[in-house]
Amino acid sequence: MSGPFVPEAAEILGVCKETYDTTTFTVAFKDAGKKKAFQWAPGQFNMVTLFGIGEAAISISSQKAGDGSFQHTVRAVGDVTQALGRLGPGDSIWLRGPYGKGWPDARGKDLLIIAGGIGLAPLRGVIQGALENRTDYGRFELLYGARTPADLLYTTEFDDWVKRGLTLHLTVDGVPEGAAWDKHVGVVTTIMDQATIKPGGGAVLVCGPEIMMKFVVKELLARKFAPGEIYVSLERRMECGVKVCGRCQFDAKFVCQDGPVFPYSEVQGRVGTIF
Amino acid sequence: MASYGEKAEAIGRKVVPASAVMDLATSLRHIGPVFGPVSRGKAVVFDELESGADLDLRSTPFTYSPKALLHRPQQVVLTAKRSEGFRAREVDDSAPLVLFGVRPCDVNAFRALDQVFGGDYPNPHWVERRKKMFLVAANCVEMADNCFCTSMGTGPGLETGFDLLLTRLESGWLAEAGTPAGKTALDGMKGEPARAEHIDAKAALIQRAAQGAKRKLGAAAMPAALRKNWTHALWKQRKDECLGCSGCTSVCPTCFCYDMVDVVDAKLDEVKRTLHWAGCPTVEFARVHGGNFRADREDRFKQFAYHKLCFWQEEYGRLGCVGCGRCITWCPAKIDMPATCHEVAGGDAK
Repeated sequence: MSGPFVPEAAEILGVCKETYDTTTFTVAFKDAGKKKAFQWAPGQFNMVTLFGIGEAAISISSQKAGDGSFQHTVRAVGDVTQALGRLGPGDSIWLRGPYGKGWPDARGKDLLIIAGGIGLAPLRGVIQGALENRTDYGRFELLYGARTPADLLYTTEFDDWVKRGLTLHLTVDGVPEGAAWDKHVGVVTTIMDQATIKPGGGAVLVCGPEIMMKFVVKELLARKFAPGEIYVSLERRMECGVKVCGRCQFDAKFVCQDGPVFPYSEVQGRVGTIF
Repeated sequence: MASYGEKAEAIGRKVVPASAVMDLATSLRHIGPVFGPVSRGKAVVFDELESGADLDLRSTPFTYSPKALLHRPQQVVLTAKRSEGFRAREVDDSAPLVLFGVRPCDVNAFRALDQVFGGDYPNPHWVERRKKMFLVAANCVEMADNCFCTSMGTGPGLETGFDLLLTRLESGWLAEAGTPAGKTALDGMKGEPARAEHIDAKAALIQRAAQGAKRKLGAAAMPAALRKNWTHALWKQRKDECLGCSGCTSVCPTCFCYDMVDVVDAKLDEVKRTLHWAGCPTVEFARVHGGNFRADREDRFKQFAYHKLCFWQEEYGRLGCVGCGRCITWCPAKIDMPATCHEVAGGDAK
């Protein structure tokens, strides 16, 4: 009997505090063969286990490094994610995956990424990959918004991203008293006119809260982007990751395997989402 | 054993007395525990038999679906001990079972779940138990008030998917083997070879049962008709009636959704990762941090109805309802989900 439910041990190699509630863990499987063989596409996720607490679906937030390690960026909001926040280098977690469909291959195209809050995590691997092969892409732009300046992820990497050819537009919904912020204030749809990528030659990758994606997609469609060139990554409750627990289902789709990344054309008009 | 998906033509037929049916149920205990319909007060439940004498093979669908023996309400899927570095051990507690007198609707529900649990990442508990199971099906020669298998193409007669198939004739029983294992069991039954008149009698009885169906559901047109009526006023009414208890999903033979919970022992050493049935009508089903994807009870009720009679078609190429009527029978709020869908679908699905 060999079922899909058994996670394998991985070691936490490094921990980077991104924000007050969000941490990036660098991990690698302990088994050398598994470590070497583990492949994924940005946008896919692992089921992360802490025994005695439970399992949670968490996207892989990096592209593969030469040493076989990869990263999970985790916001501490649930049982598993809060317990993860108490772990450090040398500690063990257990993983199974990668599951689901990742972001599309956009080589040869303009690449527009629109992210909100923790929604940048599953897109970071795309950004890293595109910057490493920058000449494979046309224009490359990121519109990134968060609730406050303190909620922005990966801020220490922004300068490097920009230097290597990413056009970055930042915004926050609001600036708490005393916080420093000299950029745009407003939800992410209010900076969409700053993007120069036009419909037809590009791929638009969108990830954030579903309500944010709803309005971003609405704005994209108003700008004549086709439903087939817009991609969204959906979040749902998941207990299995492999299409047998039924929890992530909406309409005739299972987010865990049919997604989590969908061309918007696949979810447009379906019930059970707010699109 | 009945392997699902295959076309299992009857490979041997006998006419046997009722006592031979009871004897068979008793003798099959050499394979494993025998479960079948037994009377418990006013209800017929699917439970373990002490002997064939316990059987109650009236044509009523049983309270619970035999699904519960394969996809258990609770199932430990793996264990891990802190003292052993949490090395995960998969639990394989599947053992041969005999399911006796399973109705065509429930056999078809098994086949629906074979698709759900037999995909790219098979659920090993379901798959193993299906492989090891000996299945004695029983055709229905009468229909209960809430049955609508005739509309769903899932009864009252069965063509495939059994080791042995029983049909109650006017005098005696027709026993038909569908697999070599079924043939072996058939060979051990006292009786005489079936003749053409017995086969004809079976067909006539099943046809008569089908004609007695009190309910109809326009299955072919239902998915499209429901899609057009997502905002139908009747959903608002059902929303106010539904208690969100998920009784319907508990008795439904095709509901498969579950929760996974880590159960920790008192020494804080061993973890039993345990599957528990979950039901989409409950408020916690689609809850995540920061919100609930089906916060409105209307959406939860519709998820149950639409999954069975609309979404399943696109997901698996068939509907997820087998017409057993249990969700109607056991709803404490007296909600009739199939009739609601029928009404919502209006002329489109009649």
